Amino acid sequence: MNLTDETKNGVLVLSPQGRIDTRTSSEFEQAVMAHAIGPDGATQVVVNFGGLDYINSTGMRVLLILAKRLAGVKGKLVLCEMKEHILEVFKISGFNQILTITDTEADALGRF
Amino acid sequence: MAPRRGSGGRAEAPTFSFKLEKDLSELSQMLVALEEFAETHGVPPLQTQRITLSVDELVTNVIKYGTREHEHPHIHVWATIVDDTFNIEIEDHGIPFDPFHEAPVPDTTLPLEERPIGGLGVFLVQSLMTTTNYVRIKGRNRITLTRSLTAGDQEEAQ
Repeated sequence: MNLTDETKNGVLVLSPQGRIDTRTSSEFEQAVMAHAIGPDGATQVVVNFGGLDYINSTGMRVLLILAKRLAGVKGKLVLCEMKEHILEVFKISGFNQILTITDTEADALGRF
Repeated sequence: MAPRRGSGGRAEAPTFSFKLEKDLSELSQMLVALEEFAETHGVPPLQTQRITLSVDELVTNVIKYGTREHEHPHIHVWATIVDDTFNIEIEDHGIPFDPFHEAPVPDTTLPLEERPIGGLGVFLVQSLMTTTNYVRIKGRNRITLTRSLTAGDQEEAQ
């Protein structure tokens, strides 16, 4: 798992690549914490799933933590560019009801 | 059932077998190998992902919670493909636990602020697999999963 970050129009865009599994989800959590959680953390966040091939429930847990944290500071989280099999498990989990998921990064940035 | 028991006389069925002794790095290796096995035998990508995730969630639980301190779970994962069905067996020597009846069922309709963190893994398995079963046999937990690979199951809406 690699994670790149850039800021576009004041929105932090996090792009994980590869696989987020039980072994790598703690790296993902630490990287997300470093960028978006904490006293100086970003409050407007997009996570671009375009380069992500795999995520299990331990990785989804990190996104739920991030979503709760951002909701608590009146921030916003939008997820985008999910592959079909990843979108399927987000739907099964009901995450599509509590998180905003868009097709493209441009759509995601348009939500801010 | 895995062909080691000689059931069905299908010695030709493609078979996958992987033993894990200790940790999560072995789990990552096993999942990559399982994906390669499925792809090699023509399992469609969406089905392969459903299968890999289901095995991951169950084996993760055994590694994280299934053993007493200083014990190894000795997990063995088998898979076979017979008549458009992907069959999986997961056995371990850990603490007796039936994930399909003892794991709490998450409420996927709760709003964000009320959503508990975690507890989705077994629910995902039950949603993604065609059948799930658990037995405790000869001091082992044995989970049996099947995933139908027939065309009608390819794009089903969950």
